[in-house]
This record gives sequence, C-alpha cells and structure tokens, in this order.
Amino acid sequence: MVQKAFRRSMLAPPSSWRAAFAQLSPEWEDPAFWAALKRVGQPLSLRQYAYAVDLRLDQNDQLKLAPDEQRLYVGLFWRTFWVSAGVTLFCALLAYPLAYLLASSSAKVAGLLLMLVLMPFWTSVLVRTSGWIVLLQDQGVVNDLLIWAGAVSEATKPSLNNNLFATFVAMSQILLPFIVLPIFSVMKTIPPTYLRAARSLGAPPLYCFLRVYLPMTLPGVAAGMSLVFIQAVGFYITPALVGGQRGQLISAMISYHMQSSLNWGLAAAVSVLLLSAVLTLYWISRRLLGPGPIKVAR
Amino acid sequence: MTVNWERWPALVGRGLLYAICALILLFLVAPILVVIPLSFNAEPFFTFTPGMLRLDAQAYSTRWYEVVLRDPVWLQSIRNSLLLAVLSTLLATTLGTMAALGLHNARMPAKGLITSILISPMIVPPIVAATGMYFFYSRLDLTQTMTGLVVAHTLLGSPFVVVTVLATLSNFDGNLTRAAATLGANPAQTFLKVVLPLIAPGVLSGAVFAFATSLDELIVVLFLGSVDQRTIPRQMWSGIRENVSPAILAMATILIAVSLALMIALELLRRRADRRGASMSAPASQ
Repeated sequence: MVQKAFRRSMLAPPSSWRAAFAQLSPEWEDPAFWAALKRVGQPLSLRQYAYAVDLRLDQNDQLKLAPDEQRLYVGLFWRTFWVSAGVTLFCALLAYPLAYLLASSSAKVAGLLLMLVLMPFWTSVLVRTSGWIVLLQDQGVVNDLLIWAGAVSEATKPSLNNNLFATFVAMSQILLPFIVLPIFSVMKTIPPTYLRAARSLGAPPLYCFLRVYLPMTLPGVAAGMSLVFIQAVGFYITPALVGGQRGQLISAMISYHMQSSLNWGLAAAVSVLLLSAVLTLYWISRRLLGPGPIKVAR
Repeated sequence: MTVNWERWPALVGRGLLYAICALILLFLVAPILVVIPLSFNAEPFFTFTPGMLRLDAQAYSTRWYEVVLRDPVWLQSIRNSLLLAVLSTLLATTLGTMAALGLHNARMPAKGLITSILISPMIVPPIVAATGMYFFYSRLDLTQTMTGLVVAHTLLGSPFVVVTVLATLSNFDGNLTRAAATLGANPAQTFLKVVLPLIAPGVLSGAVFAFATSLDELIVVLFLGSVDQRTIPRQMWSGIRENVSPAILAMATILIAVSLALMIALELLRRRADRRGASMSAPASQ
C-alpha cells in the first residue's frame, strides 16, 4: 500500500496530497496508520523493553498493561527470582554441615571428601542433567525405588521430571559445590581453640555454635550464597532439559526469541534486563562482602 | 574399649552429622554414578532393565560405546570439541598470562577497571554473553565458523587464566626479575627462564580451567555454530531433546573419565603450587 502510494505520487505530483492518498486507499485517512508508520520509522525505541516487562506502547507512545493472556515476562522474571532464591537457600542448608564435616575431619579424610565434592563440579553440566533425567523420569530410578519400598504404587507414582521440581533439584545439585568451597575455606581458618574457650567458660554447645561459630562463618556463607544466586539467575541448559513447560526460567525466552521467533530486538531487551539484574546483584555483594566472593570461591 | 558415657551427646551429634553428610554426598554424586551402569545397557532404554538388576551378563553390552566411537556424526562432534578446546585453551592461556603479567605491574593504570572487564565473562550469564556475541560476530562474518567459536571460547576461558596467574604472581618475588636483568638477561630471557618456570603451576591450572570450560560449553555453540560445528555438548543436547538413546550415557561416561583426569591434574598442580606457598582457585561453570 505504501509502495503503491509512493509510485503513483512519483508519476504525477497531485494538487492535494491528502485527497490523492485517500483516493488510493481510504486507510490513509486513519491517523493511527500514520502513527504506526512514524513509530516503526524511529531508529531507536523502547518498545521492546516495554514488551519485556509486559507493557505495550500505544499509538500515542503511552504505556499500558498488556492484555492478561499475553502477560508472560514479569511472571517469568519473578519465577526466576524465587527459584534462584530457593535454590540458594537450599544449597546453603546442605552446604553448611558438609563444609563443617570437611573442616573438622583429618587432612586425609577431608582430602577424600573434597574429591567427592569437586567431582560434580568438574563433570559436564550435560552429564549431570542427563543423570537427573535418568533418576527422575517416570520410569526412573527414584520412582522405581519408591515403588519397591512400597511408598507409592505404579498408579500413584509422582511425576518428578519435566516440571519446576526437577529444575529446582537439578540446579541445586549443580550449584552446591560453589557454596561448599567458600564456607569450607572460611571454616578452615577458625581456630578450634575459640570453641574450646567458649565451652570452658560455660557456654552450652548450642549457644557456643550460635554465638561463636556461626557468626565467624557467615562471610563464607554470604559469599557462597551470592555466587550461587548470581549463577542461578542466568541458568538455561538445565531448566530447558528437565523443566518441561512449567519449569522454564527467563533465559528460555532469550533463547526462544534468538532461535525460534527470531525477534532479536526482544531477545536483546530481555538480555539487557537480566544482565542489569546480575550486575546489580554482583555490585551489592561486592559492597557488602568486599572483593571476597570471587577470590574466595575461585 | 571403654565407653565414655559423659561424651555420648557429642558422639550422637557426630553420628548425626555423618548421616546427614552421607545423604548430601549421595545427592551430589548420584546423578553422576547412575549414568555409568546404564551406559552398558544392552537395550535401547534409559532405564534399568530387570536383567541389569539381576546382574545378568546378557543385559550388559558395550554397543553404545561402539555407536559413539563409530557413528560419523558423533566422531565429528568429538573432533570438533577437541579442536575447539585445544585452540581456545592455547589462545586463552597466552592472552590471559600476558594480561595477568601486565596487571601485576605496579605502574599499570586503571587496574581495578581492567581486571573487572577481563573477568566479566565469569559473571555475565552465558546466555546473555552468547546473545551479544551473536549480534557482534554476525557483523564480522564470524557466525557459523570455527574461527568464531574459537574466539568466543577464548573469551570465556581467559578469565580463569587471568585469575590463577594473578594468584600465583602475588607470591612472586619481583627482585628475581631485577636480579636476572642485572646479570644481563634481556626481558624475553628473563620471562622465559625466570618468570615462566616459577608461575608455571598457575598458568597450567588456568589452562586446565579454560580447557574444561570449552569442553563443556553449549550455549555459544548453539547460538553461533552451524551443523558443521556440532560439538559433544551440542550432540548430547540434541540427543536428550530428540531421541533418548543410551549413546548419550556412553558419551557421558567418557566425559566423566575426562573430568576425573582433569580434576586429578589440577590437584597435582595445586599441590606443587602449595609447596611454593601459592594459592590456587576453583572454577565457575554455568
């Protein structure tokens, strides 16, 4: 339609442009059409960013909420945040006793245990993810064991794979070593004499742990947690393989727009939002913990 | 042996700690260990067959290893992965070591800023990095080429070299280079004969990290690579998504052996460096 109008007007410049255009197609009388032309003609636009937070720019460049059924991105950002926070907390809970065992064992035993912690760390993410598929799928090892133990029957066995649960479990296992190591390296530096001193001064074991040991290990815990959280927010491969429909994180949208819908502008907008979130988190953790996190863990 | 009854709460506590830690360690290693027996499955399933559970020799076979080591597509992916890992490790190690030497120099301006930029690939989510690389490399006609992948993997691997070499250099005695210079060595000789041998453990462990990073990298390969550049992770990815065959588990078992070898190599390097009082570091994956 635009081409047609252009060609005609080049052949014979009309006396009234407006009448000539209206004659070609009545749609030229609609101001919305001109506004749309102007919008897509702009070299720069915040349209994609608006789209990436479930807003739309209308004809007059006013922001408004996207229709309910099209809202997708804010929900995914929140899910990414909550899954990452949950994984971080879960990892911290698992890592603490493990790091304590490592720090309180003899050098020989600690070396052996450290190998067990480091082995997953060095194993390809794809290997570990396929391991989780073997364990969690419907005919998988976990379900088989549950049936064998009589906890569930063939009919009532839970669906463990291709959902948010699988994403959560696999991500926790993959990120766990990243928090065990910083906690362990802080615990190693705490002289056991401090605890003995507290005990000899009459502190009961629990008090001793809460008031003496735990506060001293907190820098390691915080460093490990920020390391896990920052990585979890950007996770893609594992959720894509075990998450099914409901277990995807925001990274899946970047990949979808890069590879399937080819809406590169939107992929870039979501990437920039994700990147700003990660850099902000990193900056905050550097502020709170000093240059520690990277140095302690890596 | 007499039991000290006054110590029983401590003993119970210790026992409980062992039990909890055993479960956590099981959680850590189970997904890796479960892959190994299943890779010898005689049937084309991802699950344990009744025969396997009965330890029937008939139920086990090495057919999936034959698939992985004979099939031209798998072979191509192995070749590509090794070529990519070796080339990018060489480049990342060279560039990373030079960058670390520069950053170690006291007269280097804007150290903090430069270090942050150099190690940023460790913090930026891989999917964001791959998105940016796609747009940038397509301008340079580097997408869908092996060169592009080598450049990208060099970028992702070099921060590990910078960090490990900087850690080793922090224990390096600067007087040694001055001593070498007064004895008539030129800068190149000083570097090759004095500095490099002393920082070698840091350089090599950085190289191990860079190699492991490249070998395990998938997202950049998905975004930038064409069918001709499929690597082992790429092949496993499409295998898991399309046809779940135990060939993936055979490849996974091979990769477990490779990572075990890399881990032991790094442990030996770490011990050598520890003897010299340098501190080593651990990597990040995605």
